[in-house]
Amino acid sequence: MRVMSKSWPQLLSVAAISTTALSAALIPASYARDAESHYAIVQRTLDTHVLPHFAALEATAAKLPDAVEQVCRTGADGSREELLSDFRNTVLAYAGVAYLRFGPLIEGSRRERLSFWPDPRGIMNRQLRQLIAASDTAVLEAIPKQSAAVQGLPALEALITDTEVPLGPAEPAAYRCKLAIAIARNVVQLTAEINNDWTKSGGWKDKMLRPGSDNDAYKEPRDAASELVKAMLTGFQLIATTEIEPQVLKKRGFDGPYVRSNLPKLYFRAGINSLDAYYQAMALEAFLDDDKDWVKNWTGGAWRTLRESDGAGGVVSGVPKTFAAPVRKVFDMLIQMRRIVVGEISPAAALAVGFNELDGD
Amino acid sequence: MATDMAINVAIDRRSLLIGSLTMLAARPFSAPAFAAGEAIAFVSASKHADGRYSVLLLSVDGAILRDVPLSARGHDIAIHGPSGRAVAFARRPGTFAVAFTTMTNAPPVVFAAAADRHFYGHGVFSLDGRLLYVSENDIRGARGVIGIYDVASNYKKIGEHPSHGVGPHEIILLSDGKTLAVANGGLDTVPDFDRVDLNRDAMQPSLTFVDAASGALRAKHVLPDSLRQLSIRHIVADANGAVWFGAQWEGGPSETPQLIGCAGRDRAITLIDPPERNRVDLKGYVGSVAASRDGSVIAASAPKAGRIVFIDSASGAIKAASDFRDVCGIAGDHDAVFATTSGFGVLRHERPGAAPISQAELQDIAFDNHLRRWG
Repeated sequence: MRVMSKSWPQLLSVAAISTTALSAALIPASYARDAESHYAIVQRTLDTHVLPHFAALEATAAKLPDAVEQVCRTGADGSREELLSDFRNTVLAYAGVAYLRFGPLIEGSRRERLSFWPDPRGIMNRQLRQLIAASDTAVLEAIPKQSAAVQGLPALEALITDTEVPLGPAEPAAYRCKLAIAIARNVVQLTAEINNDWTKSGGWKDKMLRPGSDNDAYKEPRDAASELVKAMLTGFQLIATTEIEPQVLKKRGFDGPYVRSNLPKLYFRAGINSLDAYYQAMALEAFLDDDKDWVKNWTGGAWRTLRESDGAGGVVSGVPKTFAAPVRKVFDMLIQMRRIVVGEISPAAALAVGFNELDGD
Repeated sequence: MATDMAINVAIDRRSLLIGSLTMLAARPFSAPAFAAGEAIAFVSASKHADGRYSVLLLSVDGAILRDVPLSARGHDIAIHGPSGRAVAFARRPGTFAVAFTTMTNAPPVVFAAAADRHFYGHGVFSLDGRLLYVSENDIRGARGVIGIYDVASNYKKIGEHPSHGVGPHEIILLSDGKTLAVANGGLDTVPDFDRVDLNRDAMQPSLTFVDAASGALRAKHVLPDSLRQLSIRHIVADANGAVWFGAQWEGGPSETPQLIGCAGRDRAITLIDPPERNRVDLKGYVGSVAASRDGSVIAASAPKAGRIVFIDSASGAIKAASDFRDVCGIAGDHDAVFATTSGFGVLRHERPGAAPISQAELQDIAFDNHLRRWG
């Protein structure tokens, strides 16, 4: 460890020089090249990954209200299966964007309203029971004004998987059906708003691709590219700490995301697949120097482990069981991937993220 | 940039200096920690390049005088100058604290949060140094508490007060020695889900004034509903006893409220409202606040924006702002000079509105959220 120190008096005279002239003289030649690269990273990642994933979420969610209505009208097994399938597709589409926690997804608490998880205090269950007990029809017209816990997919899951009072044409389910339809419509509304806020003229895509002094979020291409790096790091952290670590530590009562629909493993897979594709779309490894081949080798091995894992100590279909990685190893791979992106990969792309900027408190 | 702001030279000052900086060896942990002429000036939690965490005791020029290992990431350090005692806290939602003294060679004392409690990373000694007050979470009850620890009994917990809010973060003792000010950030967390905020949509931050002896609520200030996602997290008292805070915006990106404000026991919260020409974008997060030694200037660091804002505590006007990448730790030094640290291992001294006075860069070190002036 070493210390470098220097007093600044000579800088005072430097500061007297015109800021413009000083900047022009001292901005490294790599600046323009970095800016161009950063713009390309942002454009490529948005076009090939981020926007298609938000569009997919809107498209899958759009099927939910009709599917719920069909079950409530007929109670038929086929309709029920179709609803569960549509629900599963929407949840998995959400898992593919859950780490993109900036811009439209976090506006107006949309993320929490869409997917109120984790919920270790059981808030959704408690509030949903209260809504059903009250059976207030005014609530049906005001879902967006209710607690986030009962606005989105977890509450819808509770209603459509309830075996004691299953959705259907029978009277006991009448209010539940109306509530489920209202929640499904709210999910449609939320996902449409998010997608629209990304893609509309002057929306978040434009904001990221048009940095500048008049842009309230991104002054330079680097700012927008850094946002994408931070989202990637958020992805590694979220999956590690909310889906895997509770299994490593054998937390009592941990039941994973969307367990009523038996989706924890698929949710994990959808998250990893999306993060994997996002990592490839950003293509930051291309900036590594030749002597950093070890980084590529290491990340290649880590991704192989993550791609083969089912997130619960087993393997995905088609992979020999002998390749199964314990959850402890999966957790370590996620945390180490995060560290290697912070320590090696993002600095190589001139996108180093500050320790406090990334995760202050 | 307005003329009364600091000069912001559009270059990376570190790169300007790098060619001529003098390299000095840091003192290893095993070396005599307090040799003559090596007074401790600052303390900060840190992360090392090899992944380990520690508390660093630094000289005024940034030389490492002592390195106290931590088992995981730390946050803030409570200091009792007269007794030479200090306690480093695990950051939210950690459960360990490490107490050490500079007066003797006694080994550090490690103590832990009680069952069903976790720490939020901050605490403060009583004036006489006999008690330590710590911000904690009642995990099951989802309510903030102030843990009370007996220093003489190796930091045995002897009681607790309610913080009168959710998610207490920084806690300070006012100059009367009787009143605790508590920044209730409003965010609910449980260790099972690490740092995931569980109630961002329903949070209710507050600034409370609590009787240190009885736990009675002396005053509670809340924000209007439109600002209920403004998490009040870090606080400091000025020369007149007003409590200044820096906040973190948990709401959407389309709204960018001011993050700095103040209140008193008998004075409601006001946010600074600088004229348009003085507005500084802090990117939704103030990581630390500090007062100058005379309490006339409040400084707030904004690591996401890479900025420090200096405020005249009497008028509430922004005096100056400066750029410093990943800055977070900040402490009043002598006169109106502040010491500041970054996650890139830089310790800088600066005066509001002037070019930095000095800068030291510690390689392979990332300074964490808070910097404290020793004593």
